[in-house]
Amino acid sequence: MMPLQKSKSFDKNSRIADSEYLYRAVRSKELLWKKRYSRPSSAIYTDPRGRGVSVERNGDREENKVIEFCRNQFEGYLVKINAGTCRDVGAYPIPKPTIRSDYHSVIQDSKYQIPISDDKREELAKLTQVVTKL
Amino acid sequence: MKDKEKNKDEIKLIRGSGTDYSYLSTTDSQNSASTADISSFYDDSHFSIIQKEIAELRLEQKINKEKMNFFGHRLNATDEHFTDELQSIKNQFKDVAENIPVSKIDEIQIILQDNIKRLSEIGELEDNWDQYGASKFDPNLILKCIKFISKFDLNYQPEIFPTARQSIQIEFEPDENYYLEFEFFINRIKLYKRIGTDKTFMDSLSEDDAFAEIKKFRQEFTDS
Repeated sequence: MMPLQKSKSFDKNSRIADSEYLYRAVRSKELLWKKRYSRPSSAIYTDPRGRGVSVERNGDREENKVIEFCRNQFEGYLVKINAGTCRDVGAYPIPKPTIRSDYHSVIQDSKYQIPISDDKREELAKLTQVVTKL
Repeated sequence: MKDKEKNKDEIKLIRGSGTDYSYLSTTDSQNSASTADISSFYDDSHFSIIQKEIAELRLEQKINKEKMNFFGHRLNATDEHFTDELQSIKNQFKDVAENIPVSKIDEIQIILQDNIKRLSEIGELEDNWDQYGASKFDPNLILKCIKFISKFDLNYQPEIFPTARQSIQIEFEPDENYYLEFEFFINRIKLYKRIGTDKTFMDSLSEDDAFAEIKKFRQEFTDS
């Protein structure tokens, strides 16, 4: 059974603070890494169904708790981008809790446009950091 | 200024994944010989009939090997169709090879080979390969990309990445100020280019348009 990430004290719909990080799993570093620049390709910020790029926010969790949760869900590598940085680029992170996780969020292009534009994806990729191997 | 020159050499050596090509990089101070080799790369005196014959033979062997790797177990049912496609790609390789000194064939070819291998790996990805619900790739898209990258001058290979929306992203980034990205969908090609802070977006390009844009981009970088 898949572990859930729930919190009674956390308001799952609360605005994502600029200080929070947004975490995303990258299964294959080989396939998505720009070795020349030691960073991921902007391809990691494409989403398959036009619902926004799925991420996990910190919320009230320390990073180690996020890692622990993601280890149970994903494989590969965990990368992160700061929510404030994300907004600086012009992208739009919003909470989108799911049955699986109260901390699930998405990054959109803007409030009304979901797929992230190519230039914003490029910027986001440049500012993305590797957290750990899952 | 020197850094700029270095980058212009490196543009020839953009790498794929899986193999360490650091020995090809002109930034490797211990490998000054390779810089010298590259500077004489277009010297016509290297050309000879024997070199061409050897080059063709090597290319043929490599293409046959790639055919086995890429088409061996995935596309057997339509082998005849893909054999024709392969022959066409092979002929394109040969055309390009005729203008490359044989001493450089292995180094350059290995980059193209690596990109073909990468596309083959992308073609093997299953549904949910990204763990967020992405679908697998249409083999025709893979083939379209293989044909596209093998039409380039062999010494100007891009980096290739799968996206979660069943498209393939082809990137040229000779330095941080120059970025050219094509997104190949099964029925269209999208472009995003950034030079410094100037950004260009295009959609529904033909392959010929895309080639023209690559040419233009190379020229802009060289002239900078």
